Amino acid sequence: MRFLESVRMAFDALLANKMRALLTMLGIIIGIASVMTMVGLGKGSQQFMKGQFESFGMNRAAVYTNYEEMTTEEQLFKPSDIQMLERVFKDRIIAISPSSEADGQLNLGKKSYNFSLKGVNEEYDKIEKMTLVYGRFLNDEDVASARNVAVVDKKIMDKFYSGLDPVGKRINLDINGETSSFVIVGVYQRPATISGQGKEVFNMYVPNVSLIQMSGENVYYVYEFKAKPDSNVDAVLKEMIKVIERKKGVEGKGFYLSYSSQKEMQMFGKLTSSLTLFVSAIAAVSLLVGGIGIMNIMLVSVTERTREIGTRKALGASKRDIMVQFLIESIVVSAIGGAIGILLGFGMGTIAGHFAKFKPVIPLSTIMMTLGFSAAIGIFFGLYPAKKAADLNPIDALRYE
Amino acid sequence: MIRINDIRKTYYTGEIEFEALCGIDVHIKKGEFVSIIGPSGSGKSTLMNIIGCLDVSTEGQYLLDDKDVSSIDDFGLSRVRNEKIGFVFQSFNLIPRMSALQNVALPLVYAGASYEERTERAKHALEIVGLGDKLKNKPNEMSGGQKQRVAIARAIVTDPSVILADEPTGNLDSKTTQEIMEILKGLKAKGNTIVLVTHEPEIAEQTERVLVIKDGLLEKDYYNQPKEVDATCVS
Repeated sequence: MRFLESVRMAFDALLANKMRALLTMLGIIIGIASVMTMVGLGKGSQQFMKGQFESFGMNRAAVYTNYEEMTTEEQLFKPSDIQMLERVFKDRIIAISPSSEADGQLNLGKKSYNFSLKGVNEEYDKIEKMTLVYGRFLNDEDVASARNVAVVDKKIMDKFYSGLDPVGKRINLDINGETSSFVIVGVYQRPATISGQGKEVFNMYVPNVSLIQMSGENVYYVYEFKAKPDSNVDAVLKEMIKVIERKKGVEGKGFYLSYSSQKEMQMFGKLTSSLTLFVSAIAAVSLLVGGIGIMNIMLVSVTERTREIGTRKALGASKRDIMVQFLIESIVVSAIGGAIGILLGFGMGTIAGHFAKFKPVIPLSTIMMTLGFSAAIGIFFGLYPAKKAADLNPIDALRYE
Repeated sequence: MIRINDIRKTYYTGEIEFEALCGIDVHIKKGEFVSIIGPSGSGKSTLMNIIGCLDVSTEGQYLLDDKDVSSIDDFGLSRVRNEKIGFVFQSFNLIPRMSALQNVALPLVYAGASYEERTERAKHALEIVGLGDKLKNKPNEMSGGQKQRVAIARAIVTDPSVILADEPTGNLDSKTTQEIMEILKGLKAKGNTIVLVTHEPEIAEQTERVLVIKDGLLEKDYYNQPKEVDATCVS
């Protein structure tokens, strides 16, 4: 008998019992749909995060002190430490800058706006990806003489200067209870990042020394650097921490921690893949249950159609013909279930992605694999009922009531 | 055509041994209309199953069209059933979700015929039994007599060596029974070989030759008066 003939027969048999076929598929549909949704969201979020980390800067890293373990101020970073690191690692890094942070308020009448100030040096624009819209970035003179100058986010220009070039204008902020005045020297624009999205925080860069003078500290908790493209940022980080620990005499105490986009991406990757694994395990159980459902219904179908099987055998169907007929039926059920599951997964992924602000990504290979897998379920769980049907004795089958 | 030499069939159920056929010799010639009659438990069904290649004998030889089919494997038997035997059952055994045409075409599916050929031959077979206008009807839309006629069409569609009818009128009223018998007689008149199993003497009377089976043995083998066959004609 021809293969296509068997497929047509399988469809005929299933269409005779549409509701039952659909209910049988349900387990497979749910299993496949959840796998699809999770794979789609996992891959989609990974791509989204990759984009985010890339905008943060791929070879960018920060070293910071562990507040909980720190014992003395000696262990914080001094300007001389940074200079030493710059010397030692000059072949492997593009730029290095200590960084400090402060919050400020801009009071306009009764309204007050939160500003986030970041103290950096003149090299910082090589570390962080930013585009200058107006003016210039901080220069070495600004930093050396601790000038009260600022490079502000384009958002500040849009909000407080009606989108007009604010270079040369003064901006007065309350920092730690004192009013400081900064001259704007530049406006920058940055691609949207993960944090601070939608929050009304205005960012600006000022010379770190200026910020230190204001807060009264001459040490830093954090420094940032950017490694050269051909050097491994994580290896540089490891070595840097060793050098610092040796200089401070605190080897192996874990006083210094680090952050890099590579490290972060690995962590995120681990998180999403363990999440995917978890959901896949649930989906696998659902598929198993679905498969057992198919086997169950196929067994019922074999019993119900015992006379039909007997008749077919009397008319000349071989064992193989009967076996193939029932196997194809179970494969068709599970493959259609799989296909519906894929579509449903796509739909759910798209809806979920809509809320999560990223597009779910389902690779074609995953779709093919999933379809193949559901067909495999059909074969595996259809084999026993099909064998049972094929092995029926035609005489007994014809007499079956 | 059918040559059965000392066929024996023994069933083993657990420790009990039951001899259903205790050595039967029969020769059925091409074109004969033979009935096998006997009380239930006589072994007539077993004999029919063996003739129909649904079962194999324990001992003895069965030649169908000069080919020894008593010792071929399961696949071989299914081919013989498909090519050489046309079954008609007491309870019709039509597949409910298929139309008359599809039911009749089914043996040709297993023969590997193309769709066009199947449809053509199935239509022709249905016309022979007088159902040329009921091609699309499903079994549940037909009367018992019509169903059995579809089943006969299915039996003749492959142009088999022998038509095996197992109590074909067992589920039918007397009027319909006669209709079916007329069709079978008509097929015989066209040269078909027919073996009919029945327990009703009135049915057996209408055939050309009667084999009486009792306790697993061929008790009688006689020819009816030829006038009964000759007097019939199919419209």
